[in-house]
Amino acid sequence: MTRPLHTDRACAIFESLRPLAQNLLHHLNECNFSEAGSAAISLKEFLELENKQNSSDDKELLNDFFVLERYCDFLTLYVILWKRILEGKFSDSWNTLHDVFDLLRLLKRFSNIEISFFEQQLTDLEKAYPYRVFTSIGATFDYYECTICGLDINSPECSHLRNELYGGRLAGAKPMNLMEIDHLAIVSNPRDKRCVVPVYDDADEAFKVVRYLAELVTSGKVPILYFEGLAFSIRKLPNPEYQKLGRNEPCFCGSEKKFKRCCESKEYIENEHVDIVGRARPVEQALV
Amino acid sequence: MSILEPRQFCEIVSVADDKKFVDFIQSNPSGLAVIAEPYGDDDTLSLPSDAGDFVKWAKQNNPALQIVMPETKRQILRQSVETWLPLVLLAVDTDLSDYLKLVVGYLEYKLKSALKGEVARIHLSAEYKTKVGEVKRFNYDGDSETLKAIVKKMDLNQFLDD
Repeated sequence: MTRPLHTDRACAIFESLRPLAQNLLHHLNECNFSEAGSAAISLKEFLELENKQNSSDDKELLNDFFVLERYCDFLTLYVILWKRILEGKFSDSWNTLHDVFDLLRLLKRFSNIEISFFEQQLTDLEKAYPYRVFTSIGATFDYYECTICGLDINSPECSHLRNELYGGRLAGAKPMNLMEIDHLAIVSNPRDKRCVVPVYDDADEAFKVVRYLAELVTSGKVPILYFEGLAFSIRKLPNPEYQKLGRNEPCFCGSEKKFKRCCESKEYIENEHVDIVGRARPVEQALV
Repeated sequence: MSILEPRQFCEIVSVADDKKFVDFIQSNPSGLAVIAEPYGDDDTLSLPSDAGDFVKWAKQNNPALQIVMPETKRQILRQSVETWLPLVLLAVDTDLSDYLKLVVGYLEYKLKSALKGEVARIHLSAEYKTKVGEVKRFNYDGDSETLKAIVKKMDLNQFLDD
């Protein structure tokens, strides 16, 4: 069996965290956000205590502590995400969803902690939102500063690789001295999907799928952890405008063409259809 | 296809009288050289933001590979999830397929944190001298899976040539 983390100590802490995480998910599944929030605080406090007791400077262990902290952050934000969805704060929840994705990417990169349920659920949840295009800028900077050593991260003097962990610290590249912004583009594949266009109001019809999902969760029909994903399909529905006419009669749509040369074949119209896929399961299964 | 969909292309074109490449080859080099290219309104020589990261990763994973970096530090930031690699010149001892394998390895390293459905896309250009002494430029804009397939095909062609 694959170990979730690199060191024995961190694996043992992770096992101790598991009942607390399960407790959090039980409360979340019952939409008890207050208790789920308290459970998230307990998780953090437990980990902080473990971290304080650690006097080792073993770099692998420090990296594992970084991962465990992100794991707690992930569970906390997961609660906030669903709270925002159920409160109808759909625009905010989109940003939270992408904060959660950032944490899942870190967990995936630096550990073997099982996140496949959350990954599947949330990448499908993303499709329930109306955002398909985003703004993206192009700019030039003097250099990128390493967030660990402060040197130019691309210079041979800096030994750190971007987005790698070094003794519990993540090496980032901070753009320094903006020289020029040379373009603003509309793209489908941006670095940051929080830069959405257009910005919708929470009451907008564009959020109908995520709103429907929220209704299903609130009514208890689909508890949060039963929601697995979305299945998209095209369905043929009767065209409400359709009128069966003689083939040579003028078309009902007012085109002044003969029915046979116009809408004869439009008895049914194709509609995009989304099924919300759910499966009853013990809450614990989300964590294994 | 929507205009917002990323384009995908791969081409090999002949390059005549490329002074950069002639100068490079005359210095009897080994490995590869990274070239800064004009960018922006003032055509200042700049590097894509992934250039430094790629070179550092390549050096850590292939310590024997010689890589010459240009003096310029000016970096282009694109708020796109795609990977933009700089133009590189390949010395005679560096095969194009070896360079592309290096790029594929770098993309796999970057994809370690990708979530379900996220695809690595890359833009790259490399100049090299063919066995008959012609200078060619390989340009690629596309996803990592297609690039892998191209490398595999190149290996097969090379095997058949040998």
